[in-house]
Amino acid sequence: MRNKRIHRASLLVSVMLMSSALAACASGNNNEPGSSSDAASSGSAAASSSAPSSAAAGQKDPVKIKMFNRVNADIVLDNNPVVAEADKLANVKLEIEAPPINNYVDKLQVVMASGDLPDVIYNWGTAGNGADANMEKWAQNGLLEPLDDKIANYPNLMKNITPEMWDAVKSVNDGKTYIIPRTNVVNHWGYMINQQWLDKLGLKAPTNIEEFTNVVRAFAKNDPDGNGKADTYGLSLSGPDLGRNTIWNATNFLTAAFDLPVVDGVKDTDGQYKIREKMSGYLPYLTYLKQLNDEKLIDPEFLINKIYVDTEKLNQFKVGIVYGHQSAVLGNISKLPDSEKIFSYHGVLKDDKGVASDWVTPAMWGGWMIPKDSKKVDDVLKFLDWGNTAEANTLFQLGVKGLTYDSYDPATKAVVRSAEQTAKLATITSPYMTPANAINGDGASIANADTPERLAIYQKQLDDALAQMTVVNVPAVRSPKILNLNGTIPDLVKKKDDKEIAYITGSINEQQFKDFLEKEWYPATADAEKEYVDFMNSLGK
Amino acid sequence: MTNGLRSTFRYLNKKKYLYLMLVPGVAYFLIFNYIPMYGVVIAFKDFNFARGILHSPWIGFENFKYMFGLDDFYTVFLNSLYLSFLKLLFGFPFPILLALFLNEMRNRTYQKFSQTLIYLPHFISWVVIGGILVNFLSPTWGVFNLFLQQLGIEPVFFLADNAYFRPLVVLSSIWKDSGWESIIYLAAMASINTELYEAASIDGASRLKRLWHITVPGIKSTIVVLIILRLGHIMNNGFEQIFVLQNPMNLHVSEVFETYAYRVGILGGRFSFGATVGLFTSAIGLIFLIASNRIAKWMKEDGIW
Amino acid sequence: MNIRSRSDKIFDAVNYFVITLFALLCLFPFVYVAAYSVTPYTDYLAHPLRMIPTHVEFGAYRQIFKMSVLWTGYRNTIIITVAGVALNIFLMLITAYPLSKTDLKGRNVILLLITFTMFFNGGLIPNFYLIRSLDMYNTLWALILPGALGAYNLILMKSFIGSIPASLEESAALDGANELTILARIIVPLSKPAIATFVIFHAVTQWNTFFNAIIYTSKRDLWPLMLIVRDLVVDSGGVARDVLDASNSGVTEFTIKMAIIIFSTLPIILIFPFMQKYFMKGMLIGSIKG
Repeated sequence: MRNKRIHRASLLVSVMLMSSALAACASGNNNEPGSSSDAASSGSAAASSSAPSSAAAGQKDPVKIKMFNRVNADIVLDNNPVVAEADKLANVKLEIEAPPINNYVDKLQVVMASGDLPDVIYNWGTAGNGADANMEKWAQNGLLEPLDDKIANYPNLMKNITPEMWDAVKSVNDGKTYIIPRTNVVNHWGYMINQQWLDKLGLKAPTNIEEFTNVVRAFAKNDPDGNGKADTYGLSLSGPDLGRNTIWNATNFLTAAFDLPVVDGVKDTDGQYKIREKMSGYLPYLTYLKQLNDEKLIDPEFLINKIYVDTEKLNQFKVGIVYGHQSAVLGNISKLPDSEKIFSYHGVLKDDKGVASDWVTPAMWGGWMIPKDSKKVDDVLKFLDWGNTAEANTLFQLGVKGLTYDSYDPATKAVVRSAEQTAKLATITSPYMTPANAINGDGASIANADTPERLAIYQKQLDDALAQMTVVNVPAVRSPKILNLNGTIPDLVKKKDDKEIAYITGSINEQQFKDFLEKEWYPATADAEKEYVDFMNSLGK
Repeated sequence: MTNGLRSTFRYLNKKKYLYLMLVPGVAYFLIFNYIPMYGVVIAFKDFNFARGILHSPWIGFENFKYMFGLDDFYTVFLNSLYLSFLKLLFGFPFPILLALFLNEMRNRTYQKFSQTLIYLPHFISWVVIGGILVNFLSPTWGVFNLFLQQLGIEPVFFLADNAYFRPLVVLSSIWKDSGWESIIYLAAMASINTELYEAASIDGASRLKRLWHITVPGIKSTIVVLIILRLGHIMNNGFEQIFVLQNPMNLHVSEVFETYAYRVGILGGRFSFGATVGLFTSAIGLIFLIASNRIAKWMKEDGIW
Repeated sequence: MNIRSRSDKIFDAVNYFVITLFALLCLFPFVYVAAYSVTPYTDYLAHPLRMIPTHVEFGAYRQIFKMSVLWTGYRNTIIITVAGVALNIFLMLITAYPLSKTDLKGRNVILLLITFTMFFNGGLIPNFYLIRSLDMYNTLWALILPGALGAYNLILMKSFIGSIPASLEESAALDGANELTILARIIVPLSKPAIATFVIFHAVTQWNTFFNAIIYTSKRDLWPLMLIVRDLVVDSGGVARDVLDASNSGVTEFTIKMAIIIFSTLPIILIFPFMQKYFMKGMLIGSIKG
């Protein structure tokens, strides 16, 4: 009796599964969504669609472009005046989908798998360069349109996006171009330091490793905030990721002192190319951090802070130094008013030869992909071409004149705006909205540089930093194996991350760490390294 | 044969209202659960973004072989099971105790008031609570360590210490969800016949005795059902909670299947592999559920079915 | 009846003590967040442990009230909560009742099928296809229908209904009532505690919903409250804060985050005491039926 019941039950279950599979065959092919999304958006579209129809005579109708972008939460996309203005200037009808920024990757993956792709898709990519493993996979799966033949027709794309940038994003599998970089302001990574603490302790911003250690020690031990408690630390880091512990996240300011670039593509002190773990500065850098940790000069959580937590600690006066680029101090005003009076920005530390290397990679901030066989390829390219003009850049960064600013001088970047206008700006646009975030390496405005005083502070600190740094332009490393270690040997990469942490915190000693590197890491990465070295040598640099 | 058919129809007609009532619910499950279920086959395919699930190439058990070959897999498996059992052992009884205590409170206003308070943590999402917890326990700026320092104790880096992670997860779970989980038991207690209590107190039974002999048996079937369901979810560790408390220093004990599948399967776009992990954990859960249902039946309790 | 022995008194004392302790522990983070949402930032920095603010600063709330995105979120969440709960309770009752009858033919098979769904689901992509095929993409229905009926709670409801004495139903049936009437007139009133429980359960689930919205909507004005809250409160991408009150250094990102949390969780907490009333009622009804 029992057996019969089980038999009947399992029969029914298999029938259910079968019928669901059959049903799926029907619905699985139903990838055309019909007009569902159009219907939903027609409400807001109606409001802003009246304008383009009165466009100049002789122009064709505005083209509808569905865009998938990564935009911060404050932005209201419906009836957005900046988008409306962009529609007018570029003769398009933009329909922007922007998922919540924290789950942007989740939605991106689903959209890419959904069989119904928007007309232009933004890919931020791992480590901010849109040409990541995901892009390669989508390209390989036949989802993306190769653009090599077309882009030459678009002057602004060719002008604003440098040949280095184009090279940097070509597919490592077939050499084709599947993504259009979104140009970014060149970031000169350095550090942000609590100037008030320096002043109080009578110290100067450090320029080399010895001075740095002194300052960090003073910050930790000499009660710079004057509250009578030993509750401050000299330094903190943030932003851990697979294959990249916090110690590699924008830590140029510190690694420069060890001649250790955080990016691939730079020679070691002996003139050879090597993987980072073999470079001369690798172990000394880790050992230095270990010392700081042992002496309790560094935030104990420096290995686990999620991104931006280090700035929070800076703003709560718990640490004195964090990494930052030239706009960091003014940018911080949004989180802590008067930041420009408290913190200052400085360039990277000098190495023992007195050279401060500012390693600069082609400045990109993700990129734009177009689905294969899209009927709107040329329209999208035309739009992105417009996007790479100063007009577009100014629109998306500054907003609409009268609404979000009163006057703007492109030469000096001086902006005049009221408090209401600043508030309005935050709700209608941000750098996340730009098709290109920099024209010729420069953005239209600097965040929060709303007064001449602030602009002056920014400029002076940047000039000082550049004066003492030597810019080193790092080429794009298009050597697939070394870029894809996270995908090919994720377990071992994770293990290496662990070992680095273990060494710094003292769980393993130097010999054990070296053993791991020599016995496991070097052998496993030998292929990748050889390919990398060959590639770099072939560049003839 | 016709006799059998006729009696079936007669039965259906007699019970027609019951079957009619089932229609919407069953239809719902068919549409929203069974139609998408074909997606499970992704675990046996090499998902191709352009071709979709149905037309991606079939690779059989390749994904599973790969998964079982990963070093990480066993660590993750162990972490998931261990954490679940700890939560079951310590976290399951607590809401029952809470419900028992609440039920026994004589002052109704105070009871309602404290009930509301105990539910509070449940409403704030783990993202927030976890954030507060991480902040609290921080050796850098955490209030708890500040407090320890006042007592002359060195600050402890709780979230980096493997020894503390699991107790932390269990305790914070208990704190956050016990109040909430006690609701079910309270509802069950509400349906116990009050005459039983009256009779017992007339017989001179103390509060404790009444609790033990009336209340507890009264909610026994609820407890059993909940244990069975809980065991069925043995592979669920509470994604949000773990995700927010994880960091590179505690990953060997904090990586569980849900976070692993999310990181690899969704963020990494490896839908096939994510589905493989999902299928595996579901299978385990189902086995546990069936086994515990059997055991319950054998113990003469009502199972789920 | 009113004779309380010594052991009873000790029992009471322990009871009240434990509950009070636990309740205070549970209240704590809420007080923490609420306090810091109205404490000037500088005060917080100076005294991170002191929770009672000496100066009260409402600037953060003034600022978030101006965020239209939070209000649309509220509207959406209220809609999907009310509709979701109504649908959920309706489906639960009419499905659990027949399933509670152990002698109903086919019942076990259906239960098996339903239990199965607790474990196996197709994953993100097929569900995405389904919602699109049903034309529910970018509608609030996509946030109401999926999850409107869950196996777990259904099984619990079935248990509850199953514990209602059969005698009550039998006497009603003898009086000529069909199952629909029995369900409506007898089962439902007697299941009030259970119904209240599941109303609360599902209301909280719907209130906290966010992941579905990410996958099933592309328009920001359909975002439910919690999605917006998470986006604003959890750091990622360096969200630019509204510097309207830059002159007011008491209000910073931190304060605003605290205020948003309170703003979004307060209502559901306030509704609670009202639902509790039904528990009380349920208990009284229980005594009458005896």
